[in-house]
Order: sequence, then C-alpha cells, then structure tokens
Amino acid sequence: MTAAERPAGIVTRILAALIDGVVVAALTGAVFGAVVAGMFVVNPVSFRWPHGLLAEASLVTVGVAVGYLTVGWATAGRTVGGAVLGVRVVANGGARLGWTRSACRAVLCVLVPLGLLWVAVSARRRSVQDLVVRSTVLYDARKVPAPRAPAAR
Amino acid sequence: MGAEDVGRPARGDAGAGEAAVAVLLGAGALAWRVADRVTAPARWLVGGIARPIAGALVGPVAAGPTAAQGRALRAQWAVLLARTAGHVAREVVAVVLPALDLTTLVLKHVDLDRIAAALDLDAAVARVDLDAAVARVDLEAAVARVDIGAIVDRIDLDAIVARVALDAIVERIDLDALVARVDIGAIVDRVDVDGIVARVDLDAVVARVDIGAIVDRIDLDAVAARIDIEAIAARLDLDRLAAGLDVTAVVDRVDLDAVAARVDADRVVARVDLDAVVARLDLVGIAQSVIDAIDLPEIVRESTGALSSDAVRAVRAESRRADDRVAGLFDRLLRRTPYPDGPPAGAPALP
Repeated sequence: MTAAERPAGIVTRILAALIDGVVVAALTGAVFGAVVAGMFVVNPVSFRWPHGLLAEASLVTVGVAVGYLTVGWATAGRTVGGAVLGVRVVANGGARLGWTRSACRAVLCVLVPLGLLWVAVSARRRSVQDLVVRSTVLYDARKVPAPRAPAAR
Repeated sequence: MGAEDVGRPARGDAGAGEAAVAVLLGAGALAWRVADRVTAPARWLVGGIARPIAGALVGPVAAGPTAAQGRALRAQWAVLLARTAGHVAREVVAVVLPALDLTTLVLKHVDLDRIAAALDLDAAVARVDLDAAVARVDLEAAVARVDIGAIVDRIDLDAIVARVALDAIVERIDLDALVARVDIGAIVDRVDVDGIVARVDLDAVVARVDIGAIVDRIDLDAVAARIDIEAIAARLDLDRLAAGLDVTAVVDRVDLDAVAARVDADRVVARVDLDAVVARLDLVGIAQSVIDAIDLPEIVRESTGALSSDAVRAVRAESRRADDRVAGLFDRLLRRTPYPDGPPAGAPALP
C-alpha cells in the first residue's frame, strides 16, 4: 500500500457490491441450471421443473456469494465489482487478506449487507465488516490499461 | 633417249629417217654395183662375141625382116638375161651381204653428204603416212617409260615463267567462255568447306569488316518489303518463345508511367463491359479475403476494448468524485476536518 492509495468511499463500494450481486445471481443461476440439467439427465422420464425451492435457492445463493467473495478477496484482493470500480481489499497493514479473514468478511457482507453503510460515517471509510476483520478497501492506484493502438497495416 | 631428246622428237625422227634412207640408198648402190660387176662378163659375151657371130651368121640372110627378128630376139635375150642377172644378183647378195660390214663400206665409200644433198626430203616426208605411223606407236607405253619427275626437276620453271608474257596471255583468254565451261557445282562439291572454314581466322576477318559501312549500304526498306512476315509468323512457336522470355526483366524495362500517360482511360473504360466483369467476380470470396486481410474481428475487439476502458474510467472517476462529495457531506454534518484529498489509508480516525 502506498501513500497515494486512499480508502474507497461509499458510492464506489456500493456500485462494486451491486456488480458482485449480479455476478452472484448469475453464478447461482448457473449452479441451479446445472443441478436441474443433472436431474434431467439422471431421470428424464420423471423430470419436473422444481418448484417451491426458495429456502434451498436462498441457501445456495448465500453459499455461492460467500464462496465467490472469499475466493476473490483471498486470491486477488478483488472481486469482479472491485475490478470494475478499481478497488481492492487488503488487511490494515496493506497485506493480502487471508482465507479465514476473507471468509469471515464474506459471511458478514452476505448476512449483514447494511454494515457497508458505515463507510459513509467512518472517517477512514471502513464498513462494519472492515472493523470486525480489520481490513480496508483502497482505490487501486494501478491505472486501467489503455486500449491497444491498432496495429499498423 | 634423254630428256633433251623428248623436247625435240621431230629432229630425232628426221635423223633416224635420214639414216635409214642413207642406208637403203647405200645398200641399193652396193647391190647395183655388185650386179653390174657380176653381169659385166655376160654383157661382154653378148655385145662382144655373140652379137658379131650372130650378125655374121644371119646378116646376109636377114637383111630386111630378119633384122627385125634379130632385134626382137635380142630384146628377148636382154630381158631374159636381165632376169637371170637379177636372180643371180639376189642370190649373190644373199650370200655376200652377211659377210660384209655394210656400215663400214657405206661410211667408207658412200658420200652421204652428197646423197643427202641430193635427196628431196620434203617429197620423201610428204610421201610418209604419218597418221599410220603414229597409229602404230604405243603412246601409252612410251609415256609410261618417261620419268616425268626427272623432267620436271630439270625444268627451270622460274625462267620459263619469267619469259611468259602473262599479260598478253590473259588478254587473249576469253574468261567468259572459260567460266561458262566451268562446272561450278562439281567444284563446290569437291571443296572441303569445313576444312577451309576451320583454317580461317574468323575473328580477324570479322575485326576487319566495316559493319557500319555494310549497314549503310543495305536498303532495309527493300529487304523488309521482300520479307513474308506472315509466313515467318506462321512458323514461329510462340509458346516456346513466351516460355523463354524473362517477363519480369521486360516489364522492368518498360516505362509504365509513360505508357499510362498515353492511354486514354476514358475510352478504355467506355469499351469495358463492366456488367460482365462484375458478373464474373467472386464478390463473396473477395469480401472474405478483405476481411481476412484486415482482421475485422481484431478491429472490433480493439474498438470494444477502447470503449469499455473509457466507460470504466468514466465510472471510476465519477464514483470517486461521488465518494468525495458524500464524505464531504458527512464531514460537514459531523463537523470533521476533511482531508484535502480524502483520508489516507491507515489514517487515524478523526475525533
């Protein structure tokens, strides 16, 4: 972490969360489609489109969201939303967030999403999850790579 | 016979003829003298004894016819006696001649010069049948015995040639007639042209040729007018010629700019059947080739990437400005001193 990197504000982090929500929805749909396709393949004669699976679907959604966020923060420090908005999650010291803290932060973000609003109140722009796992979200100082110039023909 | 005699055959023949005539004449004179001597006693007997006796016996009786009979009888006796003398003479000559050296006798007793002076050689030669004599001569055998090489060696050709008036000879020669009689074809057939050409120094010959003068003297228009271009073109194998052409080198030497400047493009285009050309074009294939050449998908990707990057940059910039505005709002609400460029990472919380 360099001095030029600043904590991300509430608007950027909400936008990143929305993008991550879309990604999680897509992943959940993919998982659900895969499960249904598997059911059809296993027993196509008695196959019926599943109904009344809200609890199961919610559980799957939570699981997908926790897994997606954990993997993103523990490996690259960012999810798809963070990559688009140019922010990344690090520990307070600037080190990469570990798997445990990433998983804890992911569970808190999924179960207590409103904790994100504390960013607007916090002088250091930290959410409740950041305060719990001692992490912070920084603007990524690395610039977005400029588009390649067309090759000369 | 020597070489000098060959050059003077008439003189030799004449000498031999004269000698033969002299020998014949000498032999004849000797025979006549011998006969005269042999028959002398007979003539003496007839003229000196028999004639007076006969005249005494028959003279008175035959004064008239008797005299005539006597003359006839004498004549018969004379003839008979002459014949008898001839026979006797021949017999004597046949006996005597082998024992005599006639040559010595002739040389000793015959005045050959006088005889020769008295001879009418022209008349004698005129009486000779030269054609028959020549016909009897075996000329081939005579020529075969002649040593031509020795003769030629002894001839002083330089002196002979020096004495020859070549100019006069040449002026008297009818060259036209000579040339007309020459079989040029036979001569050419016998000439070893290859051997002659092999011995010719063609480089030196060509070096001495004034090509410019030759070309100046050639009437190229007349030559070209006599050429049958159609026949030549019909015999040409244009495919082989084209295969041997270095088209690239030819095109490199062509001033295409000058050629294009002289072309009336409007007239050319007006004569082109564009519909037929377009109908023959593989537009789909051409379009595919163009797409492959310009790599259109890569262009689309680059354009999309540029648009995406610009959109992302805009979103980030706007979101950060919104963050700062929200932070500023809460700073004013909470009466906090805002950081000039936002709170640094890890900064302590403001009171």
